[in-house]
Order: sequence, then C-alpha cells, then structure tokens
Amino acid sequence: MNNPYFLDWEITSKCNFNCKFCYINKEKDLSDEECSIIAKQLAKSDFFEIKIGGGEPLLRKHLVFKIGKLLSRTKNTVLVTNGYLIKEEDIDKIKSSFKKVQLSFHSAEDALFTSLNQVKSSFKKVLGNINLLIQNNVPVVINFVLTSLNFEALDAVYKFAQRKNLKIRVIRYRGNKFIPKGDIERLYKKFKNYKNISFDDGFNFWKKKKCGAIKNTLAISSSGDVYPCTWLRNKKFKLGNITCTPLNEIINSTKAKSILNKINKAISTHEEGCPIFIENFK
Amino acid sequence: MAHYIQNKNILVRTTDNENILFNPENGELHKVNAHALFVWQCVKRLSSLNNIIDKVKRKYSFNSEEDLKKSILKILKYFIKKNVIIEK
Repeated sequence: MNNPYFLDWEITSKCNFNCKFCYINKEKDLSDEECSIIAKQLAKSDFFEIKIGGGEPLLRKHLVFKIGKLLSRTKNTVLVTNGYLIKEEDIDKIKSSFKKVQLSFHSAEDALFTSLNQVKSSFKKVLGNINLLIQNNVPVVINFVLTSLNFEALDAVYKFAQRKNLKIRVIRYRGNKFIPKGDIERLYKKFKNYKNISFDDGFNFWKKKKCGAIKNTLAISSSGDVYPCTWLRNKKFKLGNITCTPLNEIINSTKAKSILNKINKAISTHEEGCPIFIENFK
Repeated sequence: MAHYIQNKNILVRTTDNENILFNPENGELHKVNAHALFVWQCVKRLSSLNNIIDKVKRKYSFNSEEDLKKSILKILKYFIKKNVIIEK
C-alpha cells in the first residue's frame, strides 16, 4: 500500500479549552525526546503535509516549534491551534516552523464562542491573535467544526473570514451532535460555490461515497498510537504505536488492510455520515 | 511567446504505482501519468513550448509533431488551470 499523503499528529491531548464537542481522549503525552525521534522518522517519510495539533499544541510551544522547523524542510507543515496562547514573540517561530496556521473559530459571536469552549473572555483574545497573525503575514485558515450547536453560525463566520481575507475550512463533526442529512446538504449546496471555503471529507460520504482514511490520511495520537483518521480513535481502530513499530510496517499491516476494507464496505452502503463513527462512537 | 515554469510550492511524490503532485495552496492532489510528470519536470526552469517539445521528443515517440504539441498543450492547460505550472 502507498503511504498516505496527510498526517495529523496530536502532540498533546491537554488543552486550555474545554470544547463541548471535543472528541480527544486524555492520554499520557510522549516525552519531548520521544517526539523528536518520531519527528526525525516523519521528516524522512513521504507525507506531503503534516499537521501538528492536539489538544492544544501550543501548550508545548518549545517542542512544537522545534519539530515544526525540522519537518518544514521537507513537508508542508500546518499548526492547528485554538489561537489563545499565541504571543507576539512567537510569530517569528511560527513563521519559520509552519507554512500555515489552521485556527479553530467556531462562532463569530462572543457568547456562543465562549459557550462552546467554556473559557470566559476567550473570544477577544483569540480575535486579537487572529489579527496579530494577519498583521504579520502568517497564512491563516479558519477551521470551523460544524455541529448542531453552531450550525447557524457558519454564515457569520464566513462573513468574518471574508472581511479578514481568510480561507475557511468546514469540518463536519462526526460525533453525537448530528445534524440531519437534509440540513447538511442544504448548507453544503449553499456554500459549495462560494470562494475561499472548503469542506472536509465529512461532506463527501453521501455524495461521492469515498473516504480518505488510511489511503490519504493517518493520525498519530499524543501517546503515539496510530489511527486511520483523527475521528476513529479507540482500541478497535488502533493500527499500532509509532514508538514500537515503523510507520511503513503499520500502514502495510494486516490490521490496516482489514480496517480499510471495513471502511470501504461501510462507506459504499451508508449515506448518513461516517458509518464507522456512528456505529462505534455514538 | 509564452513561457512556463513550475509553481515552486508544489510537492511531488513518485512511486512504482503512482505519480502525485500536491498543491499546498489549495490542498489539491493531482494523480498524473508518466508523460505528464515528464512535462512537469521539463519546466523546472522557465521554458518555452518549443523547449518542452524538444525535451519530450527525446524521450517519447509520437505519430506526428502536431500530435505531440497537442498533447503537451493539453497537459500544460490542465497544469496552468490548477496552478501547478505558471505561465509567464
């Protein structure tokens, strides 16, 4: 099997936010030394793009910048952050370590924003840091996780992004905050031809009946466990652990092939969302 | 006369099974055949259509120069549309 093209690496499961829809399991993080060894392995891999996220990756700033700098020599490196912890003195390091920043911004309205992440006064701080990144010419993409809690907020976030001249990426939440298929379809049809907005694989299940798990993407959790994607993360879908087994072996393992077959079979017969997620995580 | 050059941001992966170009600017992946990959490689430096035709002629045989030109133009058009190659 060819290696996937994109990797999501959760450098920590800890977070300064407490988002109502967060699906990350709290795990023991790998040490800085273990992460550095993994980064060296990944630098030699043929992933096109490596996203460093979490939890909140900037809780391990020193490590994140070190790893990002190493990987950015050969990869398109992306920092996935909630933006709260960015400081002015970090800007040069962000620019030398990452090609772009994906910043989670799930509402353009203070009350909903803070109700979603459950951290008071976070809205103004994140807004200020978006401006800081823009002023310093750091490429920023807005990540908008679409749930039933913020379904109506996409319009305003899109307008906000347009005003700031930012791209927006809409990620369909696969968890228990399901939005009826008809609503998803209406929303998708409304926005799909708008400029500077893209939709993740979660919008393709009912349309193109395809999924990129294992073939296009792979995820590494903060403890080094390897999963088909960031969403399918329990022991049932664990492909291996990168601290014990080289990534090539994990990708070409019997278990990976078996899970890939299961995903393909499920996707071809299901239309309501990620069937594997619904079956195993609701 | 138009000249062509690679978009320097494009990342390339070639394996026994596939040739993939990745455009990080828009996240698009382009699976290409060996011929299109060779055209891509030909424009590493700023090149005219005639330069590209000369290079491809040395590697591939075609029924006629006209067919070859058409084929290269088709590939260039696709690459330009996808911002994989830039026309100058």
